[in-house]
Amino acid sequence: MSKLEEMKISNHNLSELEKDLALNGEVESTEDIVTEELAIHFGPQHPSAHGVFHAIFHVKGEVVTKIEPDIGYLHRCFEKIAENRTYTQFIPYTDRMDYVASMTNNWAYCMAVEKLAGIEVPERAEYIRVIVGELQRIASHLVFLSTAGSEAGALTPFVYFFDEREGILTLYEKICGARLTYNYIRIGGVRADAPEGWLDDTLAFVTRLKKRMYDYDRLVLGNYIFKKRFIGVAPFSAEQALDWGLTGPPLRSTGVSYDVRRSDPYSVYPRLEFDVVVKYKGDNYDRACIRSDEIKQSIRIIEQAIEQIPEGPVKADGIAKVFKPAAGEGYGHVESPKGDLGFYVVSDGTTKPYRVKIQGPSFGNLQALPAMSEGTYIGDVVLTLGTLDPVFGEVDR
Amino acid sequence: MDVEKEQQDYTTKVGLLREQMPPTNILLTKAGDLINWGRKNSLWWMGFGLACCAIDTIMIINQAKYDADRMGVVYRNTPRQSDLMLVAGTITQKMAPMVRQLYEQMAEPKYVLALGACAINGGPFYYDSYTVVKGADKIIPVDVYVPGCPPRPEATLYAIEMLRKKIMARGKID
Amino acid sequence: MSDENIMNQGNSEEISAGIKIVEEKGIGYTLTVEREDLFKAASALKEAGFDLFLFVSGIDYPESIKLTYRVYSSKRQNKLAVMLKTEVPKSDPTVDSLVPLWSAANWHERETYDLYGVIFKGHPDLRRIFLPQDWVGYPLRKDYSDDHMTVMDDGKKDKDKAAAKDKPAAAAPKESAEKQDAPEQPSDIADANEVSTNGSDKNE
Repeated sequence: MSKLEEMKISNHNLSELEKDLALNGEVESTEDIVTEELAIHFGPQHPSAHGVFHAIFHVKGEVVTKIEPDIGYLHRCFEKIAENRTYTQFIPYTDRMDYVASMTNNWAYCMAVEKLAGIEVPERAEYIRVIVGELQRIASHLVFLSTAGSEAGALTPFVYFFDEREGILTLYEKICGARLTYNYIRIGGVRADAPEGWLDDTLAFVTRLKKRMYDYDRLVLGNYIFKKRFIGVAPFSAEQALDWGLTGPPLRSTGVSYDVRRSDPYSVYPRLEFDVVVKYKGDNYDRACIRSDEIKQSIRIIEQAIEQIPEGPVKADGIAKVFKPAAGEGYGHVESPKGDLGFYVVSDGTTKPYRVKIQGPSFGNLQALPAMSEGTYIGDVVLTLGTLDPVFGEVDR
Repeated sequence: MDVEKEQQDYTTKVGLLREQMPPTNILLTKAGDLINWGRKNSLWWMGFGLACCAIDTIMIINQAKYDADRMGVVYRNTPRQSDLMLVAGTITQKMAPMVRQLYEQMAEPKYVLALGACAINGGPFYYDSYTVVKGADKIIPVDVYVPGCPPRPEATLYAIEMLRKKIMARGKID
Repeated sequence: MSDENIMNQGNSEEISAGIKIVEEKGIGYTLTVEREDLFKAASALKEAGFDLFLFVSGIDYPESIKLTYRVYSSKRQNKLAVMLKTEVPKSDPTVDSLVPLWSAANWHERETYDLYGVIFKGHPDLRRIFLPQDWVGYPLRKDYSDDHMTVMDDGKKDKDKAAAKDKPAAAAPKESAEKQDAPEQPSDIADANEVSTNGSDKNE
């Protein structure tokens, strides 16, 4: 059998999607069009790759038949470095992992060490952590919405959302002095109390954002072209999502209500009222919508937290900068904007961790990309990658 | 002050030198200035986010608050159309050949900004890291180094300003 | 594990016949098995409703590598997660792959192979994932070294041991490196100083 015949036969087996390609009346079927399978390199430098991601797309015409991801271009050896730093010295490194959501990384690591060493965190510090953590979720989701828009060709949201994000960065600068890498949440509390008027500024910011979210929803998610590009693309069922180990918004978009804030409650979340946003179709549009809805829930949480926040110390007493926790293990995880972010810290009784394992949600989520987008058009793969929202500092670690 | 005097001396010396030059050379120098002026006002940079610095420098500088467009600094997606490479972040051994290849794909004249501690010498990943390349200048020539982890957007804009000065300082067409 | 931790071991729950998970301080429910029984135990967990695979971690000890898996159940009422622990000797670091049970184990096991050299039997595609394919050695093992890596002089050397006996390792080289890097960022320099100064031994 010649190669040409092989191609023709395999064309018969292509999905329904391929049949849609046949234009009404002009081309009766795609059987006569002989397409050759091509391997296209995507990245490592690609403006839509969200970082340094390399993949080989095998395409037949417009349809992707196979994806071979290749990661590790940003493998910076966090876990090796952790073994050679004291517990406190490693906190700034966690900032640089998921650099779109540094605050939650600090939080997860500190929580793991606190569990390991049995440290109690003062109540005011817990509330401040919740406020900065939820602000971080808003900032990260704003970056998601702007990049999702720009990948679909809409460059305007980029300007709006980054402007809003500037507001959050200004708040962060006031509280900890840095724009991106905060090193603010410390073992046993936070570095310093919020400056005077900071809580009012935060409240003013979220109140303004709450009003604007309606417009932003219409700008991106309600946009006709955006809907056309996103609805029904790369759907995932709950079984598939669990099998592939998705966490965070991609998992919740399939109907599984797994949110660490509710499933394994930490900090003061049990006292705060909010909904875990769940969608059921699991397609790209649901994965995008869920982020917008989570911004609204985060605003709710921040409003309540500012209302409830008590006075008091913001750091547990008597925690030395260099300390020796008893030999043992600690696991702390938080619901980061990307998903279930966990740190597994093993101590051998010295000043340095014996082992720090980082459970990065982006790593787990990115793994599902081939299963999700094989059989879709090549133009949609970038959108699917975008809706998984991987950050390569965390994927490669 | 001494510095001022030195500067004055230098200006007079340069002026004398110019007078001594034959007319053709003056023409060339002026043409070189013109071309450099053009180059400095159309620095098209290649979007190349390696790590953390990409979020706070290259994604921000063209946004509303910082607006690098006014200096003619415009974002391009491909090295073939770019003059300026912003190395924003950590280079690992796996990525290093690609960085080099992208640099070689850019057309002359080309400039490189090393953004952040990682691109300067490996930064926080200098010690105990088995994959990180200790500085962008190990693989490509760097024009301006921008310190910070990550640098503030203002620092990046300042670095671009420095680079523009550097371009103007080049005398002839090269 | 210290005596106190053993005393703190409280709750335990029987997942299915013969498989009992015990609550351990700091990490929650744990199940420790021999490596021969790993696949059997994991299958039992899967059948008991633990459907989300979260990670596998290696821990390097002089004679062996300990593996810790974390799985979560979205179906069970009390929504718990379990740490599944096993141990492989360094002379023969092989263990059954869990990819047949959870597809998610694929990359996680490749990562552990890449960094620890644990061989997962039955894995469909056991290649290095982060490092280039021609990399020599398994970097997260404690005895790993290569020419490229600059190890921070942290008092591990014998001659420094006496000096560093009372005080923990000084981080002077790091401080100088960070200062060099970030002179224009006041906020971060404050951080750098704070992190690398450990003379006072107290926070704020």
